[in-house]
This record gives sequence, C-alpha cells and structure tokens, in this order.
Amino acid sequence: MTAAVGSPATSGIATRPRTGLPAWVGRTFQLAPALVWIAVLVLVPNLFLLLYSFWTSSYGVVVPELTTANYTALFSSEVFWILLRRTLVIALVSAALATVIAYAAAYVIVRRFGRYKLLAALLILIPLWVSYLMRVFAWKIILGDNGFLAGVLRTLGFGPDATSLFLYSQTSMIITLTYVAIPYAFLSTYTALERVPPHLLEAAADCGAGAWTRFRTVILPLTRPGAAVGFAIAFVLVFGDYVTPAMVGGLDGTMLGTLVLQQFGPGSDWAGGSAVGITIIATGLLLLAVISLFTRLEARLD
Amino acid sequence: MPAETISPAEAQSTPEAAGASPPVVELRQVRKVYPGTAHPAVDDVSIIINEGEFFSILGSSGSGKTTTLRMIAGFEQPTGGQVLLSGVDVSGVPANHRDVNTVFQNYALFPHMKVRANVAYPLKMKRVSRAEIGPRVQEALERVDMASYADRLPHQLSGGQRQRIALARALVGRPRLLLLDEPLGALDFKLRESMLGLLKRLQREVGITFVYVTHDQGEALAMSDKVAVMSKGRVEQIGTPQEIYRVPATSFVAGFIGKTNLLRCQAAGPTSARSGSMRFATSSACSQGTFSVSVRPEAIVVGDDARSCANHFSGVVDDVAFLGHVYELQAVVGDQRLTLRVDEFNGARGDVIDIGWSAEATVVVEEAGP
Repeated sequence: MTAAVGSPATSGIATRPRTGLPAWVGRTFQLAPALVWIAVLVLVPNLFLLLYSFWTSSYGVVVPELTTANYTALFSSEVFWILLRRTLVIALVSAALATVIAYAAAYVIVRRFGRYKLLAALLILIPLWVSYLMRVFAWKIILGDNGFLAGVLRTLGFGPDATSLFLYSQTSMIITLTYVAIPYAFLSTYTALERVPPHLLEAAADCGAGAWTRFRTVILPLTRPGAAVGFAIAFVLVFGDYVTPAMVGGLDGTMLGTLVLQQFGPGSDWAGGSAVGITIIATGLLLLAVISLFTRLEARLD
Repeated sequence: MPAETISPAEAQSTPEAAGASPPVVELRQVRKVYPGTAHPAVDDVSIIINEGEFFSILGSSGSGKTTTLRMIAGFEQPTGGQVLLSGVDVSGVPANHRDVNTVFQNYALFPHMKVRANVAYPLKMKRVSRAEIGPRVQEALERVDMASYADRLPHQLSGGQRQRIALARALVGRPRLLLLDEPLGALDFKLRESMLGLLKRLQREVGITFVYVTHDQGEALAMSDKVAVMSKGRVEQIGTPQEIYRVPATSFVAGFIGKTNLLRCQAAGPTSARSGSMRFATSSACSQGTFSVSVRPEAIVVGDDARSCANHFSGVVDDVAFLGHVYELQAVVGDQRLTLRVDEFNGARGDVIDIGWSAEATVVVEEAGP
C-alpha cells in the first residue's frame, strides 16, 4: 500500500465509515410487522380479557370497577371445580391418546413408507382442510342413535340401551377430541421422527441392539421433546374447546369452554366469562411450563 | 441376544479349511444389486481376510467398497453369493447378531448420551455386568487418549475427538472384526496423520482384524497388510501393498495407485514389446495383441546410469518441477511422453538426456475391465 491510496484512517476494510441511523432503529424497523401483529392480536385482547375479569357485570353491561368478586364466585362454585376436573381429564386423556396415535402413525410413515412418506403425511393432515364443525358433526353421525356404531350393535342384536351408549357422554367427547387433535400432534411428532438420522440406528444395531432396544434407547429419547410439543399443542387445542361439547358432549360432556360460551352468550356476564377464560389460559400455561421441562433436548442432531 | 452372536467358540470350520482356523471374513462371489438399478453395486467379489490382518478395500466413490463393507457388517444383504464370518454363513443374520463393530465415517455417536454412555452402549447390549462396564469404558477411553472427556456430550467435541470416541465404542466390546468406513474422510490433513498413527498402534495392541475402506491410496499403502483394489463393483487386484504398487495386475490399478507411465504396446518378442518407435524388455511374458506396460516414474533413471539399463532411450526434457524431495520431469521420447522422478537434476527444458529403466520395472498389465 502506498500513501497515495486514500488516507489510512478511512481506507481500511474494517473501518468502513457508517452513516445514518444507529443500528437499533434498523433492527426495530425490521421487527415491526411481527411486533405489531403480536401486540394487536395477542397482547391487547388478552389484556382486555384480564381487565374484564376484574370488572363487574351489571345487567349485561360491564362496569369498570375493580373487584375480585368474579374469581371468588368462580372458585367457591362447586360446578366450576367439577367442570375444571372434567375438562382436565378429558383434555389430558384425549391429548395423550392423540399423541400416542399420531406418534405411532408418524413412526410407521417415516420408517416404512420410503419415498411415499410425504404423501402419507399429507393424507393424515387432509382432515384439517375440512371445517372443524363438519368434522365434529361427522362424529355426531357416527356415534349417534342411528349412527354407524349403533347400527353395528343393532345388527348384532343389542337392544336400544346399547345403541345410545356413545353419544352425549365423556367417552364421545374423548373420541371426538382425540380425532380432532391427531393431525396437530402428528405435525410435531413426524418432524421429530424424521430428524433422527438413520445412521444412528445402524450404529445401535452394530453395537448389538435389537429393534425394540433401538427404539427405546435411541429413537424415543431423541423424539420425546417433539412428542411433548405435540401433546402440548393437542392439549391446548382441546382444553378450551366449546364446539365439541356442544355437539357431542351432552350434559355429561360439558366443559369449561361451554361455561365461557354461556357466560358471554345467554348469561350476559362478560366479566364472569372473562374470569373463566383467564382461568383456562392460566391452566394451559401452567401445563405448558411443566411440559417444557421435558422438551429440552441437550443433544444437537447433526 | 448374545447366545446367537457368532463367536469364535461356535465357529464351525468349513470342510476345505479343516485343520486351520477359518478366515475371519470370507466373501464368496458376493453380488449386490440395489432395487431399481441396472448395474450391480458389487459384482462377483471374493475376498479372504485372515485373523489379525489390517485389510484395506481401496476404490474411488461408486466402486462398491462401502457396499462390500456394509454386507460384512450386516446392514445390507447380498443379492448373490455368501458372506462367511469365521467360517459361518451369516446370510440373513442381522447386524446386531454379528460379532462385528463398525466405525462410521460420520461418527454416528448417540447425540443424547455422554461420551461415557456412548462407549458403554455395546457393553450394555451384551449384558456385561455394571461393575465391569466402568473399568472397561475407562480403559477404552484411555486407549484413544480421551479419558478426560467422559462427561462431555458429542456436540461438545471436535471431529477428531468424536472419531476417537467412535473408535473406543467400536473396540470396547472386543469384537473379532472391526470395520472402518472411511473413518478419516471428514478430518483435515494434520488430524488424519495422527489418527493414522493411532489406528495402526491400536491394531497392533488389540490384535483385532481391521477392514478399512478408503479412497486414499496413500492411507491404504501405509496401513495395510493387504489391499483389495475395487472398481465398478469388481475387485481388480488383491495383494500386499508392495505387490499392488510394484506389480499392478491391471492398468486401472497401475493408474489408481500412485503415478505411473502407462504405455500401449504390441508384443515384439517373448519378453519384449513395442510402443510406437520404442522397443523395450518387459518383466514378464507379453500377451498377444495390444496390452499396456506400467513404468513407475521413480524407476526411471537419467544420465550415465541410464546407459547400462536394459531399456535405454534418449529424450527431450519438456518440463521440470521441483517437488521438494525429488524433481519431477516430463520427457518426450519419440512420440511418447514420460513422467520421471529423480533426486537431482541440473538441466533445463529442452535438454536432451539419457533415460533408462530395467526390465523388472516394465510391468505388463491387463486392460481394465470390459
């Protein structure tokens, strides 16, 4: 380098002169769409819900007076605790069932379908293209008095007691919600299984591990976080549901979501409904926190 | 199920090998055709690997060397022929029932297990008692100088360190046979050197038969007791590194192993051949028709030494390259262009020099494949 080529202070590669705004302005600008999205569609509505749950309803009108009366009333009501317990049981059972079924399906598809696995995965996800209401309604038909299952039992010679076994019960709720949750649980379990490198299974076999041991010691530990995420998605989806209880639940199948609907709708108690809503959200977050303890994967797949 | 593992005690000797212990590995006319492909990946491969040998399978990518290894390991089943381990036909025996361990090119360490658990894994599968596992893992880690890394996870290690752990995991179960699938392929040059030393030392210490797959002829020559050179699914030649280098059976082998001058010739006598205007004595009988001879660059001498050689020509220097330990010259003799390596050279491009080599250095090779 000779002195003729510009002054040393400004010509170095590392010291390219910076002009204009500080860096954080640019970063914020790039993030802006996401921030606006989160603020408008997530933060603000939930803050309103939280606020409403501490206000009072008077003849169907929300009065901005801070009070914990909604929660006191809710937690002292026996019905709430029954519904909470039932909702938890239904949601946990159907989310667990959905995760197990989705995991098994994803396992078979990833390990056995070879080049057709993407097509098979798509087939599992296709029900999502159909309206939620339609899918639940389909189960109402299958489970109903004149439905497929009842018809089978009738041809087998069972009386009217047996034909009304299915619909409007917790069983019908669990069946329907499991079905609804499967595609969601499938997405994350499929991704997790797909990411397990095949050479690890060869290495395990090489070390003397049989098929079951390979699954237990290699596949399962590496896919457990994915399965946990699938379970969490299924649980959150099912926990706040109100459509399925309304259609196939009957009295025995009433859930917390139904309560929210009633409070906001016929009950005209928006404040009380908000309290139930907040309770649902809080329970869901609590469960997600617990699950996240199991989703941490120390290993890095390469 | 340890009981089904092929162990030396159960090994039944084949009739033809009665008396002597059967070879650790024997491939008989093994053939492998992958579904949906027209050409076999491995075709009519017969190899015998004896106890304690360091055996290399050398070939470029697509030569079928890795497929051959995978059939020995049990990851692939041959389409035809037989694979025998210690004299026992292992057709249909899955990898987990073979007393064979593999070191994979991409290490294949279990990412969710610490180094200690990775190395202990084969022992757990063999249902070795807990009290014995600890010391044996420790010993295996010490062998590869990785004892202080026992509590790390694989992603916290460098490539060379991971490969050492993979080696420890493969050796800890004391298999009869260790398969290495291009174990140094992903390592840089310096690491490769030190790993080569480690591998050779380990093999000497543990006395296990090694089958080493590589595309690097330098590695294969330096490490092996025997080398099988593969090309297009077939074995071109099996022999000691010296045989492979000095007496290549085919022009493919001659060209693949080191640098050589391949001259197309016709027979001009019982042990003499003609190539263009050159006529020279050969090491062995010349076949009829057209064939090739291989002359290694370092077998060629120049100057006064050349005049006493069986094959003596005069050539024009076309290029001189100084490689550090030798000079590499390009010389034109008649219509042929020869590469030669000499320790000292003081001439320049355009000089006329005497060039010569012995009859022994003129190796007749077959044409490679159809």
